[in-house]
Amino acid sequence: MTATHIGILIISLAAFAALAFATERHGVHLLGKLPAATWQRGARIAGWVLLAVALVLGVGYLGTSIGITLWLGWLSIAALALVFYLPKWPWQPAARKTPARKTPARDAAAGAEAEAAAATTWARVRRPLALALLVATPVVFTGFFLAVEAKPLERSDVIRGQVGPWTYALAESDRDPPELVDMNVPLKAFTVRFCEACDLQIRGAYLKVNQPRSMRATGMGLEGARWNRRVEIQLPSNLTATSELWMTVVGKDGSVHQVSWPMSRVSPATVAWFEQERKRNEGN
Amino acid sequence: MKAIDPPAAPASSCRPLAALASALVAGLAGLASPAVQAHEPIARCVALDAQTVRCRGGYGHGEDAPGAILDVVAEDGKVLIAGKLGDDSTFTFTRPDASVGRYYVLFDVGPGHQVIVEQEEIAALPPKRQQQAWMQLR
Repeated sequence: MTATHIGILIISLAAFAALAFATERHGVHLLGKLPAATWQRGARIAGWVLLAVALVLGVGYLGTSIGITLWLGWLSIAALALVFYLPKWPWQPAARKTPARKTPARDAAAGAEAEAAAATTWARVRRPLALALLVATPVVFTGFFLAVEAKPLERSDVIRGQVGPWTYALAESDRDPPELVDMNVPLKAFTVRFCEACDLQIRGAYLKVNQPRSMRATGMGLEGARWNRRVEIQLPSNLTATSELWMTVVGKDGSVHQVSWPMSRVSPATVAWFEQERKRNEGN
Repeated sequence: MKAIDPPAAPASSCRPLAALASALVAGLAGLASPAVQAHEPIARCVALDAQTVRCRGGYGHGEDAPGAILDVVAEDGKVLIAGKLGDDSTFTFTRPDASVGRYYVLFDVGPGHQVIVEQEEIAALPPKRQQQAWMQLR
């Protein structure tokens, strides 16, 4: 884990150094003279490839969301380190006496013009491309935002009822098939909310597929002591449409109340997924 | 010495812009993927042969849980085999006698954090190519 972080940092440092080397300003700063065009191009490609490698490393070892976030974090640190270090670079050329920008000499223009023509085509594409990406950001965000489902307990498939003296609302946290984790174990998340007065009287609530056989085996405890409680539970490998999800609610007075629903009602997507798996295994 | 090309200046000034934009898009794509928080306990059991069962307990991201409780419990709640996961996060036991009736495996890592594997869920070993390392006989 630590090696992944250090790896991302070192690779992104190298990437930014290569990208700096590829620019004219920093190339001169680092080398004392302008690097050859092929070297610049090579360094630019190497820089971007290294940044991509760092991203792949992060996503591969830390998962998509955490990987990208940490990659951005290490990129910032690497870039900041270079920002503060480059002015102290010992081999930088002496400060110019004349202003850096001056009109290019006429005779040098002939050779440079062809080069400039190629560069301007790219420059002409690059700006609209960057703008398109910037515009794409809010557009993509809005798209994802609209695609986000309503909160589980506000959906139409929420189950409302009463367990002992307490009213509840229960729904699967999303309507997707189960999430597969280590050892190919399927997990499913649920959200439950009791009435606000009920919350004060409830010590804990537990969820499990199949009827609990004893009070020691009532399943996973719902997290939280009030309002929306959530839990993710392992699903049994032999789950069918008639399997039942059981909720055990224990009051602060020690009373125990149970309620159950068929899985076909709680999570049709889960039942369908298990059916599909069974068919696939029979096919093998 | 060649002076800095004026045409290159606007191009390089928009490079960070492009980098920022692509990073933002990539970041958003990351945010949009479902939050995976699999720190839940998980357990799986396989029958190594007719008499022997091996269970592995752990957590959703693949973490081990050496030393955690894994009991074999009869339907009436009586603990038939009180087990603890070994260093490899597995526990191997001989199936309880048929006379005790139905039983289940309880992987218990703390209050409200448990997994129950029913007797019927203890599957035969999958074919060799689908076997996970912990299922291999030692």
